[in-house]
Amino acid sequence: MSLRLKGVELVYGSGETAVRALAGVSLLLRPGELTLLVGPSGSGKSSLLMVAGCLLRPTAGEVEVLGERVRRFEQESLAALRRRCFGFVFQHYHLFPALSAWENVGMALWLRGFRGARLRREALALLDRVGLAGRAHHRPDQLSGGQKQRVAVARALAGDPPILLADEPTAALDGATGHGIAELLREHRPPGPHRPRGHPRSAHARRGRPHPAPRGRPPRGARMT
Amino acid sequence: MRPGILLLAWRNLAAERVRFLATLAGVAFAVVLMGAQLGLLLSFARAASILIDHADADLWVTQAGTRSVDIAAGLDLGRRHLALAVPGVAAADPYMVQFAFWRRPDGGNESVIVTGFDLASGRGGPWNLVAGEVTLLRQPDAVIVDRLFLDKLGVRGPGDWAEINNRRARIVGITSGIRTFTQSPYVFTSHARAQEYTLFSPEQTTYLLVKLAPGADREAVRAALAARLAPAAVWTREEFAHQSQRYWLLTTGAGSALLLATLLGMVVGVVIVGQTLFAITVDRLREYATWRALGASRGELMAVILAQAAIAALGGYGLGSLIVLVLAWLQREATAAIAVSPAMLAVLFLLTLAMCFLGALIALRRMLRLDPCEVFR
Repeated sequence: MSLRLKGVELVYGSGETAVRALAGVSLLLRPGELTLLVGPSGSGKSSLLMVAGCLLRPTAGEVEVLGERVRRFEQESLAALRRRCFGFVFQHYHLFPALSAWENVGMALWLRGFRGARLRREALALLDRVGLAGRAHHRPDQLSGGQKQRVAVARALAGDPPILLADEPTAALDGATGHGIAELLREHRPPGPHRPRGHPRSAHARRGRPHPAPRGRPPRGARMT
Repeated sequence: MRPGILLLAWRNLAAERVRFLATLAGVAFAVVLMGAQLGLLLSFARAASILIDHADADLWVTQAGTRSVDIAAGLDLGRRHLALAVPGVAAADPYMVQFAFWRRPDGGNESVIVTGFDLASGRGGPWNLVAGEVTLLRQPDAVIVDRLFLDKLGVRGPGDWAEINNRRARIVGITSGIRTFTQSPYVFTSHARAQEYTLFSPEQTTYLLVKLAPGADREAVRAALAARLAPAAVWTREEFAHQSQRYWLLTTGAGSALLLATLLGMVVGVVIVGQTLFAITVDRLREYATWRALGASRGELMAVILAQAAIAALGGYGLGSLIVLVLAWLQREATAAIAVSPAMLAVLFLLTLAMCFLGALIALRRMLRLDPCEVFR
């Protein structure tokens, strides 16, 4: 059970304005692994993450998620696969501002079939895991940046998805707060491929043996165990 | 409320309090516009067939080509005996409905509709009497009018005198709530006096009101009457009521105008709801994209928008229909009232829902184009 990319290419646009974001990328991420991808801005990190997370279909190549080849999947099938297999953490949190912390986590749980009292119990337990039990009823505008990102991590962990993808989860935070988030991700890695992607100078990148990602072509076999 | 589509929809609306309240006010305004027009339409439709609905006749015999109960041609009264000879006919009472001029005591003229009925059977007579009695119509020159039109007729109540086509008329009774589509008041009197007022000969009437014998087959009797009384027409009560409503509402343009005003009210609501839902959706695109990235289906995203539209519809309808009920109550003594019925309120609710869902289309379209990759940009 793994996340595998084989010969993945991604081209934005067409003709003279075409931009090749990924050129023949192959990756194998095994259960329990924590992999960091580093590289300069524009090197294709986000594109790779979007393809690996089944948000974007590659122009060529193969993506295999837990044994399923997704090349022929329609948009709704890809959404169903993401719901089943992926948790996401984003640089700018993207929490629903009108919902409290536990309700934001609850929305992700709802997608994964949780309902009623079980949903509430699980959401509160997840917030407790990320150290925010006392902030469950606060809305995002009542939380600090670090607390918002902790809610986002709790949301990503909702329903224990086998794969967790994080897009520069510490970039918008100060050093100490970013370090805390990195530790959180390390502590709560799900029982599957586990892959926060970090800015080269972020705290967790320094601690986690980052692999450089040259423009359009990350190093072959860029995985860490 | 637990997390899910309804919670998200409600919180998205509630978080934008001012915008949401403005939307509710806009939807309520549209509901009042639509409700008032539909209420007037219902009121006019009822008025157009009010004589038929209260006449207690199973079948109406009219001159061929009659299109409205208020506009009738003469019918030979001798046909009454032919009708009574048809098996299944228990009664065939003469009934007069004819326009005439009412001369007010102060000298002014008004158009009225003289309604003459058979005092012996009482069929086609006035109802909702609030002063006097039907039996008083046996007195010379006696007439009964509705209190909604007392000012128009220039009289105050029983005992007052006026003239109909230069013949004396004395008010002996007052009814309540007998409206007319034409705004020419119904003046009830005996059939014989109605003939005099309208210059009809004693051998003429305008309708025969047929009452069936118990157990008689209405369609069979109708067919027999039509054959016996040809070329006169024979209508069922429902057919003639519908025909009268259609005549006044469609041929005068009143119905079209009211329906057009209803449509305009709906358009106002669509624009208001559309603008709000689109703005709220655009403000939340990143969050919706996140939800999409987490695996939400297009159907679930669309359900959030539709739930917001439904909430706006419910809130706006609640407020708007309350205002319509108050308006109807305030208008209860007016000659052109706003009628309210459960069916009309149900239609108004469906129109409100349709209006809000139409308003949601632009937001839905934007949501369908949502790219989950937006969260990475």
